[in-house]
Amino acid sequence: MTDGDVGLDALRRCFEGAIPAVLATASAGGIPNITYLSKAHAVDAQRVALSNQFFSKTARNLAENPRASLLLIDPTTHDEFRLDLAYERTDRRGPVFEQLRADIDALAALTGMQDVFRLRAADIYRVLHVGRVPANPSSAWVPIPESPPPSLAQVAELCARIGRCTDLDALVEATVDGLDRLLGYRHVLLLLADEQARRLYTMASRGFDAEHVGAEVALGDGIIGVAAERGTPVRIGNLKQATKYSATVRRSFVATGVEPGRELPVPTLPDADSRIVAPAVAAGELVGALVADRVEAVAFGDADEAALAVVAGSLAGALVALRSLDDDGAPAPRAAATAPAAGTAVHVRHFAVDGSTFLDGDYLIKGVAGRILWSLLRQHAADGRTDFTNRELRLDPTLELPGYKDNLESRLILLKRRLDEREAAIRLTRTGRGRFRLDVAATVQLELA
Amino acid sequence: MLSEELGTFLESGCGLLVGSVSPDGAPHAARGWAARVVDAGVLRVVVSAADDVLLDNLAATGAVAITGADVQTLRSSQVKGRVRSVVTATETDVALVEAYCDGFFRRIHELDGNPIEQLRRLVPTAFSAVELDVLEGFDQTPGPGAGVALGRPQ
Repeated sequence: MTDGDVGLDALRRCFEGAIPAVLATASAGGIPNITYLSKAHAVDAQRVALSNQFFSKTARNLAENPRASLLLIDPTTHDEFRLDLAYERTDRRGPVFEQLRADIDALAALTGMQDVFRLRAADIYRVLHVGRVPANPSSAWVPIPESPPPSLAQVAELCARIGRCTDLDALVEATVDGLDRLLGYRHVLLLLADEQARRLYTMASRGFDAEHVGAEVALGDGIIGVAAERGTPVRIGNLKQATKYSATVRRSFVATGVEPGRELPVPTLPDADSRIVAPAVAAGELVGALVADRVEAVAFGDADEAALAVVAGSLAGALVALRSLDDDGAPAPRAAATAPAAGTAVHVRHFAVDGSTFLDGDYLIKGVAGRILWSLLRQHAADGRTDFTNRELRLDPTLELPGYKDNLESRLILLKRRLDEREAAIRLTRTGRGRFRLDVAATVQLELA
Repeated sequence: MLSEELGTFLESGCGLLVGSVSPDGAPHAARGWAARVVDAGVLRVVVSAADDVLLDNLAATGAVAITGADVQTLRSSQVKGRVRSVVTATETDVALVEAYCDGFFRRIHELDGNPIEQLRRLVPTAFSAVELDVLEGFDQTPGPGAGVALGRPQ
């Protein structure tokens, strides 16, 4: 099947799509056709799959003449390979189709096209021969250092740390810290699903210039939303190339009068070319997602994807367990009212319509977390209360919590992190399981908009 | 079928592909290393002189397809035609290859970050030039219009 020592395993990086592949076919009448492809996929040691979205001429040629020639370039070494292929079949369902569909969905989601740009079919080819195109000897190959994937022992250590966490705040911190310092993923996001599992909101991040806490993404939007919606990891090693391709397809659709969905900015590390998203699923339900970025192309492999998936699974289990324990049932102690700090003041403006809350004119948070803060501050203003419990919050109708799976603890931690991040004069401190304290170090002026 | 605009596009330093087919119907994918419009409807494309399969195919069947794609926009156009001649590349052809590689690789480096020195590993060491009569042209830009004949409504 292959030429000398060149097998499909050696072409692993070629299948990440960092450099577009090239496919030639020919009609029964002997007219060649040649086109770029966004990506080729390895199916097994003897087969490759090509996604079929727009290949009308290629499909007609293959029906007449089931042979093809494929050019691939290794994005690290820039070695080039030519594969002689025999077309075997077209899949419109099954595992290979699903794998390619996930890739295409992620590609489409980069520019908000997930509703109009979908995989039609996966063409499966048997590889007859792999030949290495001679490289120019006067241009030396400069090896590019690769980041090794985490070891099984490192993954196990992080899972153990996650298992030892006794509250959500510690769990979030242990996870992002372990991904960074233990597993070597310097740029990570941890997102949690909202109560209806329709949106994900960022609970913590590491290695990003701007703090992303509170940023949201809907299921199905962007790479994160697609991975969360499908409940399977998504790995992209060619973000720049994929974004160009997706933008070109979008322009083509717009030119034909089809208006895709809104174009979404890709929330990513600047200049990142690689991203992995691993959804965190427990008992069949989405509870969050882990995201890792790297600047380099094709920076993540199968081992990275597996490692992140294991950590995400461990996180999901811990989240569910902690949520079931977040209320000890005891009433909050009634502490004596505290006097506000002299000389400082903070203006809190709250919009009841969506829970948006601003501190001194700067946006802080919205939704359930915003309504929680407003409720706490009103009670504090009324009688000076500082100690609260999750149980009493759940009984507060102004919070508009759902009757089930309210994720209250997650919202409290999100609020705490946003206040900490802002170094606000208002802070939350956990005082026990299902109990917390409101610390107010200024005179608070409340305004309901 | 080779409009002035299309000729200018293919000469502009876009990514060039060359498709050929053997007498028994086996397609063969290759790269082009410079393109130039030499006469009305006649395109000259520089290819690797070491690609025996390509050169044999072109000589045997005369059928050829040339695709050009812009590195940034991914606008892609394909022309198909009949081979007029295949000859050893001239000094002018080789100079064109140098200019083509300088511009093409610089754009890739700026857009995608590939090191230029490594991209140069792809460049052949010897060249041939193929001249073809362009008979057809097609839009191949990724999207719903891919495959539409140029000059026809979608």
